[in-house]
Amino acid sequence: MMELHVWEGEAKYGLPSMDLKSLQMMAYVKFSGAPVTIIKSSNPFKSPTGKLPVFKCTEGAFSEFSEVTTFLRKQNFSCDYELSARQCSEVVAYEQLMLEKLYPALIYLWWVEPKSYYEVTHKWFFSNMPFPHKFWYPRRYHQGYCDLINSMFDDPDDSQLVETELHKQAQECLTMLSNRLGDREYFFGRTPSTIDAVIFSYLALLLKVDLKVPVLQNHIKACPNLSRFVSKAIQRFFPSEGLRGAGSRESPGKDDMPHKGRNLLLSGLVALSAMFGYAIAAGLVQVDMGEPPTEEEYDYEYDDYNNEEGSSGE
Amino acid sequence: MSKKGRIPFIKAGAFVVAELDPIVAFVANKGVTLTEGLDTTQKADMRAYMSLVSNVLANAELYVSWVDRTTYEEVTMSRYGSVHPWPLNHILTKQKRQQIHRRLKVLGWKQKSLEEVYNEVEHCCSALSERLDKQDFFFGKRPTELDALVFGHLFTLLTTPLPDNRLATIVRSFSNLVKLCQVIERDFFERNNGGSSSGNGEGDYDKLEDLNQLPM
Repeated sequence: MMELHVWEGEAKYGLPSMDLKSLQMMAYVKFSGAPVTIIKSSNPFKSPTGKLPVFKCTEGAFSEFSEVTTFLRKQNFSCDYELSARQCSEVVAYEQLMLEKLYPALIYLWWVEPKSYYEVTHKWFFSNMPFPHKFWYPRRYHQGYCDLINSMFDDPDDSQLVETELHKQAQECLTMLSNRLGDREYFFGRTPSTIDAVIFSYLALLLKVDLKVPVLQNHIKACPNLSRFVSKAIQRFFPSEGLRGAGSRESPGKDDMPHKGRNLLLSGLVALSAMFGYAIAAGLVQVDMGEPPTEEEYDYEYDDYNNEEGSSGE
Repeated sequence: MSKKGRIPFIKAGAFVVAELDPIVAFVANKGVTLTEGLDTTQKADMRAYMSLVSNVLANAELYVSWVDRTTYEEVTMSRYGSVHPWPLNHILTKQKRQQIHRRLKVLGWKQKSLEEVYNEVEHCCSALSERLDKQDFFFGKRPTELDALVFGHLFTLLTTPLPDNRLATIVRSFSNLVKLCQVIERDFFERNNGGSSSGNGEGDYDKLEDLNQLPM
């Protein structure tokens, strides 16, 4: 009995998962045809190990992609049956190529670059994660990835230099991947292998999400074989996500409107009541409680009182 | 001398260029390149294997030198601090150690055990050996920057005496990789020494043939 707990995807992007490792594991499981139950979640603390993604099986719980592939291969669910020993060594080498040249740019664009981090990544995790984890969990990732980027550069404060260098390396890598893929359906022929799962995870995250710095997204779009590779993989192995993504892409604005209007109205009412309450408390505005007495009634009572006074005084 | 204090570097007239990739690019600008015979697929493969060596072998070397307690105390401390007077040798060594630890931590290497590091090295050498197969060099009859990079790392692993010689043993178990190192050493380094192997100046390093006679 095998279970794979992964991060949720996002329908409006057509992404099966919003996390790199989750995508890699999901892709490998689908490519190999292993009977694994995929459970999506946005609360890592509900998973068997308190982290996401995690692969649960009879031999324990695995968090690393290599552990999952090793286990599945032992159970005879391998993607690499048709690969020669030399091709298997190329898989190892290309995994490291992407780790060196593409991974830093990916985590920079998602988790470090301020505009994309706050307006896309943090926003998604904040709105999808449960209280109270949403307040600190994404920030922890942000800090970790900032540390990683800082350790790679002598002058990490020069964000222009950092961004230029990361983009340059990533674009070189994407071009190499595009050249290597050529006209083929998958990297080593007609069936997807481990390296296809890894490449798919990187390309999907860079292509499908509209970040505020779209340099790499545009580069992938400019390599038609890479965009085709991603769409075909989603269509074939994640058909439900693919359809939802295509549908909701047409009307991205409409979903937000009703909630936006209602929220605006509510906030306005709250602000007005707060101001009004303060004004009353400070005496700036006086409100008469109940009906004011009419003029005849008032005079009548006063006259009575005076008459009584006068008569008792004498 | 070098910008940012990085070695190795080359000095060509007014230019000082440090580290492998910039040196290769600089030399290519002058019209000298080792990869003119390679097509785009082979160039991509070469870059991929170079990433493999940089990510795995380089980090494994840093781990063994700076994280493994025994090696750090017996070898690295004295070696790194030997060029500086007291107390600079202690201060700078500690500073460097902290820097390396931080770097390995963010890369996910510090958390590994020594055994896991040795397994990564073996996995890496296995992939390189598979690619090299029975050829003279990784891409045909002429060496490329990948051969240079692999030679640099493997030669160091084979010839640096460490308290635990596991790394050298692992590399030595791949005979085609050892042969590659021997061929490069013979063809490109011995020529400068005029064939002599002992005592004077540039010949002052352990030759690979001599080491093969040491007990494993």
